[in-house]
Amino acid sequence: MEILNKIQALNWQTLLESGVLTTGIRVLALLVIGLPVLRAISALCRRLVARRFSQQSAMLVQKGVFYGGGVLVLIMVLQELGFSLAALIGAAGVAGIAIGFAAQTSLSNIISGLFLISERPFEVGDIIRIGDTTGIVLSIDLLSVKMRRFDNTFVRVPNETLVKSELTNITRFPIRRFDLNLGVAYGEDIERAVEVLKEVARDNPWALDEPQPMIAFTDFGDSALEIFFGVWFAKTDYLALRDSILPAIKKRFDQEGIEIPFPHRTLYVGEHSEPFPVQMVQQQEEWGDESSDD
Amino acid sequence: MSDHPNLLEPWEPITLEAGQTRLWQIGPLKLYIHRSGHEWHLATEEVREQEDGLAVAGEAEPGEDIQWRRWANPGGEDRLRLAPLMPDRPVVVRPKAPLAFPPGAGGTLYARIPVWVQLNVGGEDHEVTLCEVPSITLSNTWFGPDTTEGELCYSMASTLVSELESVNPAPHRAICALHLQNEAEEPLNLERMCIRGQQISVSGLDGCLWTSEVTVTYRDPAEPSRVEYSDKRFRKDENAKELTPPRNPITGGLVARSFARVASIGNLF
Repeated sequence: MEILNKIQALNWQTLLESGVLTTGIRVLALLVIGLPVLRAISALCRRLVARRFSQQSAMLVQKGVFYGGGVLVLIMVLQELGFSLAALIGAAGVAGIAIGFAAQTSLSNIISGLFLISERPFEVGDIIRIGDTTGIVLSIDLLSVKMRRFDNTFVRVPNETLVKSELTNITRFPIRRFDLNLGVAYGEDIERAVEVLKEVARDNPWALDEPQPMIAFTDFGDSALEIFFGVWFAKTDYLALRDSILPAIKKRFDQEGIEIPFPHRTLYVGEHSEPFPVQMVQQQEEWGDESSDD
Repeated sequence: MSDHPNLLEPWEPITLEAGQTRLWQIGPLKLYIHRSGHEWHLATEEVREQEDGLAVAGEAEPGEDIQWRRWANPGGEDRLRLAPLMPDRPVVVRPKAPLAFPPGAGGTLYARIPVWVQLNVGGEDHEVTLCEVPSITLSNTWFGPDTTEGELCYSMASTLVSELESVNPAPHRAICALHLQNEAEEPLNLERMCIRGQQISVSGLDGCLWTSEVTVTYRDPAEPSRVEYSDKRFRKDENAKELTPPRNPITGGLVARSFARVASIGNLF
């Protein structure tokens, strides 16, 4: 009620004649019309760019058009309100120094973001690993990169962190290698085991014929003969390959009687073939007397 | 090439009555096609041991564990046509042993490329493609200078041969004649070759499936070889019939293709 009284008390004629009302309407029109139009134009630009270029490029164009247009709208609004652009720029220079000190981290993130954009270690849609976090890149923004983990959780990684840390782009190249270290018992025929692994790779529909699988006898381990088995696959087939080749190896090894041993220790005294000596240290009847006390 | 049955029979259009189930066997691929009142049903089975199997719209006894795919057929169309198609990815082929072409030398090699079977329904003037299935499952392979550049291809077990007489036609394989010419100043060592089937058509001639002829001219190790496709042989022979055009026919002149290539070059950002 009080506000209504105050509005009624305003001298509208004076406001209209002085131009305050028209200025206000123009500013409102700039904001109300300008911002939605700007948003529509930036979305259109994104759709047009996405047809020929990557999603990341389209996103960058959209943000560039929107923020650039936003600055123009802001300048027009300030000019409507009567602010001098020259004075504003002068003031901004002074304010910039103060803001620079206060916003060091944000500025560092922005500059890191520019480096990421120019270097392009990854794109939107890539799967990357940074530290313990593995996920799909959703967007590359001004201050941070947004990711989605495979358990559908959302992760925000500051750009500065990405520039400073080691980053792995899992889906950068069209094909990858699935590496497996396995061991076979010392008593097994290593050449036969290698041959079986080659057959498993050959029979797997997701394993590439070329590059050929890499199978190498790598070490005499504590409990087994160590074999490295690396098979190539198209990056989209990771789960299908992993879920099929591991059971296939186990099944074939079982069929061929090739043992994959548990970690174990063999004790022997002096000679491998001699029986292990056992010495009785206490009479059995004494043990019987002791056990009746329980 | 030895005498063989007419391997082009499966590719003729046929009419299926409502409620009928028919079997086609094209090499190792068995296709069960059933037409109900307003649906098409398709099931497939691969029998590797029956490489030369051939049956056209025969009696069908699909097993109970077979998986059917269904498509709506509101118009009640009863005409269907199977069509042979080049694989949806390039195919890597190899000679029996590496073959060297001295500078200036050339030759013709033959490959038998497994076809994809395309299921088309509807009248001749309004055919609709329902799906494509491979006649045989091919394994995947990579073709490129290293593991970072190249393309995903299929790998063929059968090899390139130099005598046409030793080519055994099969219902599910199209014979591809590859004319190689070495115009470089060094020998061309052929260990494997990638055939991109996007611009290759499939035709029927003398009861066999044939592809467009492919001519590859090798000029310089630093430059890609020139590849040309030709159907002249089939156009001249009135007994030949084009069964399927290329997946991606080459259209436009050289300038249009050059511009298309410029526009497709990566990202500008």
